[in-house]
Parts: sequence; structure tokens; C-alpha cells
Amino acid sequence: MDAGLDMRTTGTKSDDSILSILRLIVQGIVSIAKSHWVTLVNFWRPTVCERYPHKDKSLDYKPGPGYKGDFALITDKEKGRLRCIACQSCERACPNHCIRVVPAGKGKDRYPAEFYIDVGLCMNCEICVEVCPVDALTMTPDYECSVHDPRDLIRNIKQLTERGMEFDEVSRVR
Amino acid sequence: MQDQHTSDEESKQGGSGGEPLPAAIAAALGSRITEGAVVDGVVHITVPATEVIEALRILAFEMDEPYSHLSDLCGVDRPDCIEVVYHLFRPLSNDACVVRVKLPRTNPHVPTATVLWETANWAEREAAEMYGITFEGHPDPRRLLLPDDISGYPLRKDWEYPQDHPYLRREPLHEEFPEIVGRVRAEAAPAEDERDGNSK
Amino acid sequence: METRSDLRTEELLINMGPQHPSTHGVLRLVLTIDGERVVQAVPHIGYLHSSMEKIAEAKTYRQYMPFADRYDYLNAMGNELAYVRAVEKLCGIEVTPRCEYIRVIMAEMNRIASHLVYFGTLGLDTGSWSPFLYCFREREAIIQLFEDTSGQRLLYHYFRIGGLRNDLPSHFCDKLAEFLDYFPARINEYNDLLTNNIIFQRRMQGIGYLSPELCRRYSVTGPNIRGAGIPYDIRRVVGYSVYPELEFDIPTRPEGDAYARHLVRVEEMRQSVRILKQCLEKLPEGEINVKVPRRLKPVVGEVYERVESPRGELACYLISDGSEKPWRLHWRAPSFYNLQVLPELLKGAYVADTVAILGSIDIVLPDVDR
Ligand code: SF4
Ligand code: SF4
Repeated sequence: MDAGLDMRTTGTKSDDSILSILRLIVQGIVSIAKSHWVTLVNFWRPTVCERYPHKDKSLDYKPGPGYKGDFALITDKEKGRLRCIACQSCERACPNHCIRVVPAGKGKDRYPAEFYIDVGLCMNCEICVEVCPVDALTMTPDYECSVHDPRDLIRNIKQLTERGMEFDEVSRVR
Repeated sequence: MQDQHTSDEESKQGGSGGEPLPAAIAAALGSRITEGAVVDGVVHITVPATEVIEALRILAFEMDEPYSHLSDLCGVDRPDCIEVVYHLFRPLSNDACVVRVKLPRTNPHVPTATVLWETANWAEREAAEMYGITFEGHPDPRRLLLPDDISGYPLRKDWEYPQDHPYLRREPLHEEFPEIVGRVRAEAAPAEDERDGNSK
Repeated sequence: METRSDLRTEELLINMGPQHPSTHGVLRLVLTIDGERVVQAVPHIGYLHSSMEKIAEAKTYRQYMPFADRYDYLNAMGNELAYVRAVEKLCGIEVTPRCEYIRVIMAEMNRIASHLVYFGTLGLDTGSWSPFLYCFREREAIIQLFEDTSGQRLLYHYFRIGGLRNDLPSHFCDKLAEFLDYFPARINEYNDLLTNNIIFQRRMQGIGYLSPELCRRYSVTGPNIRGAGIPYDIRRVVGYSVYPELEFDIPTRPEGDAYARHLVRVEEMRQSVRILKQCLEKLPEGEINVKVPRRLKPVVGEVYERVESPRGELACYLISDGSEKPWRLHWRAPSFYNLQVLPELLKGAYVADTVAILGSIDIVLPDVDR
């Protein structure tokens, strides 16, 4: 403690002879020159920042597969219907309770009449995708979710199906 | 019942019951220990509330190899008591000693450990507001994390979520979401019932 | 006529924060100052309290996993590691060697990323802009790898109980090796830019003195205690995961001032690079996941699992009552205990040094408040 107080009040120890002051000045100039050199070197390095959003959407950054972005429901192209069997596993597993599935139909023909995901409440943990027994739900590399009214963040079955048209399988890291 | 609870827990954790306490600790603390066991190499001891500071002082400063690093202090709500748990470690080693104090649910009191470690200051303030434990002699017994107008002790199991608190009120949107869905369900349900009726 | 000593001076109370740019979050410091010196500092915390411990009691062990990311957001992988290790110890799950190695790679990359944020923001606090930009550029390389692997940039939810979300993507090892090749040279550049800069040195040396005795009394851990000369590192002390198989030094400095803590962190980045290189060499092939029952019900018991986060000793205290949900989960958050020592460090310091001292103990406010 006492030693600490000492250090605080006296600051860095230095003697006041002309020579040491001169040395300090030279050191200072050298160190500042060095840091300017570093900034000069970095001036020529490529930037990693992206200008966003671009006027031309195709220039925007595209995340790789397996990115946890917006949701999609996968359609079984052969049978021409959603893969989802409305088992509600995802609804029960979601930690934030942001999924609602309204099932319809019986037995083999069970299908989701309504499927809501509140993306504003979701924390992109992917638990719902993992618990799905038929791999019907996926997260897509689509990250542009900003809207003006938070109500628009509730995805319904139409939006989810539309986005799912591009996907045959759950989007995974390769 | 608590005894059973603890022994149950220890026997399951350690496989075949805890080993006896190390001689050094048993000798140093003597009759202060009400329960004690070694589980997975970790010493667990329980001491009465009145003796805890003395026990901690002996463990931390008077033993040959003292447990002088207070890693953590927290409250736990057990089914029939409130516990204060002190996690002590030997400096630069993994030798642990867990000291517990069992307190009654109503008006729990325990002397403060800030006399030994300033570490305990905030940790005790947190335990105090979360469990309603009074740390006697605490230098600064104010709330730490919670706003001043929260009633009750949130980490107790019987605490109820205050529905009308201005900070804790749910967003209208979140209220609406189940509502929308509820409406859809209400519409969908009769259809299903009908179908049920038809198929029977 | 009044002499200088007759003049009456008064202590002044100033509020720093909660919205101060140098508090790295929402921290309010009430400073009592006498002229230019701080007489007393009282931190007020709790602005970011998010009930992480109460939430745990309502979620299953799997569902809590993403929440573990969310309180120390600069060290999400490290938090997941602490939590996942605690649950696995409770359930008696052994993970595969490849999984252990990948977890250590992730934790060490996150340590570098976290120290880079520290380095950049300390530069900002002491009035230097460029290190911030350069550090974030290097951090971007790590974050990009995290994104390719886990699908998120900040809050990953990559570890799973008994394994990982997925194996490493095919380009991961090459990209990481490339990064590890150029990164040490970049650290030298930053040192030229900031650490060896004479203005910065004079600013940081001799302030915020932390003695080993103070460290014991306040349970200070992490680079802060190593900056006070004590080689206390959970990776070495506990030797969890595969750390015993890896070679690395624990950098310490005897001075105990803000500059010493800074040097320790810079050296730690180099050690992390060393660890990562070894991990890439030793990375075994094989499975990453082991079979875990769908409904996870640990036996009754409790664990206190400690890991080394970039900020110090991070521990997860988990009590199970045999059901699917934890009975009690408590985080021993390193920032919480490290921040407690701040009033001691600020006593007698200049007001202008407050931000430098605060920056040098490297706290993350959501980690303090949980
Ligand atoms: S990603 Fe997580 S939070 Fe979002 S809907 Fe799925 S389970 Fe719920
Ligand atoms: S998406 Fe999968 S888990 Fe969710 S209801 Fe449909 S089939 Fe079940």
C-alpha cells in the first residue's frame, strides 16, 4: 500500500540532469516517428470494411452456408408440400417462446395451418432447427431483417415458405 | 430431511459416499464442523452461522497451507433452508474447500466476511438483495444490482414475477404475439373439432 | 491578505457515467475530487443486470446454452466452455479429443479477439485513435472465422453439451494458420504504435498500483493479478481440457501498475498464438460429438467449474436437483470482482488517469451485472 502511494505521488522516477532530459527527448522523437511509420504502412494496406448498403445489392456481403439468419420452411419438392409435420417440437424447445405452430390435419397428413416466428424475440440460437425431427425448418444466410414497425418482424407461414423455396436441405457449414 | 438431502447428494456425486475430512482441517476446526465430507477431492464443510467467520479465518490464515483465495460467495435456496456458500481455494492450486452456512428461511442472519476479504463486499450485497440474507456488520448494506423498488427476493424459489412493475412489464408487442396466435388457434380449433366429430 | 494556505478548498462531487464513452458499457462512478486528485470513488453498477441466474432456473440445460454467451459478450466462447464443462462434469459426459482441441482453439481465438478490443479501447481512452482501427481489423479476421464456423459473429452458440454444432469448415485451418503467421508481426506494429510510445508510457506507468496483498484481499484474477507478479492462471493451476498437453508461458510483470497489466495482455496474445499453432499441429481427426440423451437429467449434485477467461477466473457454479432444469446456476464473473478493486486504485490518482486505470483493468459491464 505505502509503496503504491509513493509511486502514485512521485510518478515515474527520473533524474533531472540535462543528459537524461536530452535522452528522453530523443526517445520521444524516435517513438513518435516509429508510430507515424506504422500508420504510413497501414495506409497502404487493403481495407476490410465494406460500404453497406451498396446501391447494387449484388455487391453486398453474402455470408456462407450455415449462417444463422432469417428462417425458412423447406418444401418437399417431390410431394409438393411443406416438410413440416406440425409436431411442435420447435415450439416447445425454443428458449424464448418465439415460435407458434398451429397444426391441422391428422396422422400422416398433419401440416402446419399457421406458423409464426417472432424474429424480433429470437436470439438466433438454432435450437429449433436442431430439434426438428424431419429437418423442415432452417436458418438462411439472409441477414437483412430491419423494418420500421416491429410487428413486421413476426414471420408467417407464407413468408417462410417463400424463402424456403431456394433450399432443399437445412443450410449447414461445409 | 436436510441431512438426508445432503448425504443423498454427496453419495451420488462421489460415487460411494464422501471420504473423511483431511486431518489438518478436522484438527483446526474441531467441533465447529457440523457436517463434512470430501467429494471428488473437494472438501465440503458446514458450520453454524455464529462460527463461520472464525472458521473462515482459521482456514484462510492459520493453517499450514491456508485456503486464502476466496473465489466466490453466493446464496443458494435449498428446499428447507437458505445457504451461503463460500468457495475457498489454496493460492496457485486447485485444492478447494467449500464452506456452507445453513440459515432459516425467515430472517436469515450471518456475520459478514468483509472483515477477512473485501471481495465479500459486493458478493454479500448481491446475496442480500437476491435472498434477503442480512449480513451483520456489512460496511455498505445497500442494494447492488436491482432497482430500489423491487419487492421480495428474486432468486428465492417462491418469488413471483411482478406483473405491474414499470421495468419488468412486457412489451405490448410481446403481449400481442400470443394474442394473434391465440385468435388463429381459436379459429382453427372448431374446424378440427368438426373434423374429429366427422371422423368418429 | 490571504496566503495560499488560508484559502479554503472544497471537495467536489462529480458523476462519471452512466453514459460515459470510456466506461465500456453502463457504469456510473461517483468521484469525490480534491483539486485534481480523486479522494473517493464509488462505482454504481446494475444498469445492465439481466437476471442470467434466474433465467437458468426456468430453462433446461440445453436451452440455457445460448444465454451463457450473452453476458460477457467479448468472451462468448469462453463462457460456453465454462458452462458446457460444468454440465458435462455433472452428467459424466466425456467428449472426444478432437472436440476438446476445437474448443481450446475457439477459446484462445476469443482470448486474442478480446485482448484486441481491450488494446483498441485503451488506445481510445488514452487519446490514440489508430490502434482501435487496426485492432478491429485484426479482430475481424477472427470474427470472420467464427462466423464461418458457428454462423454468428458475436454470440456464437457453437458448443453443445457433448460436442459442437458442426465440425470446422474446410478452409478453417488454412485461414487460421495464415492469420497466425502475420499476427505476431502486427503485434509488434501495435507496440510501436502504442506500447512503446513515450507519451503512452508516461501516462500509464505508476498509476493504478495493485499490490499482491490488494489482489488477495479483493480476489483479483486474470491479467491484473499477473501484472502484480503472481503467476495465477487457471489454465495452469487447474489444467482443464487439453491445456496440460500444450506448451505456453504465463507472462507476469512485477510492477503492478497499469502499464504492467497492459504488457501482460500484449504478451498473452503472443502466448495464445503459440497455443493455437500447437493446437493446429496436434488437432486429431475423428468424431466431434458423443451421444447424449435427448432429455438430459444429471444426477443430484453440484460442480464449481473454473476456466480462465481473458478477464480472469471465470467459474460456473451449477447445482442440480436431478430434474431437467438447473436448481441454481451462479456465475463467478471475473469483471465483477476485478471492478471491486477500482476504488482502491483510484484513491489519490488524477482525475485524468481515471479512464486509463479503468481501461487497464479491462471490464465488460454485462459481465459485472450479469
Ligand atoms: S433460433 Fe432459438 S430463439 Fe430463435 S426461434 Fe429458434 S429456438 Fe427460438
Ligand atoms: S418445423 Fe419441425 S419441429 Fe417444428 S413443427 Fe414442423 S416438423 Fe415439428
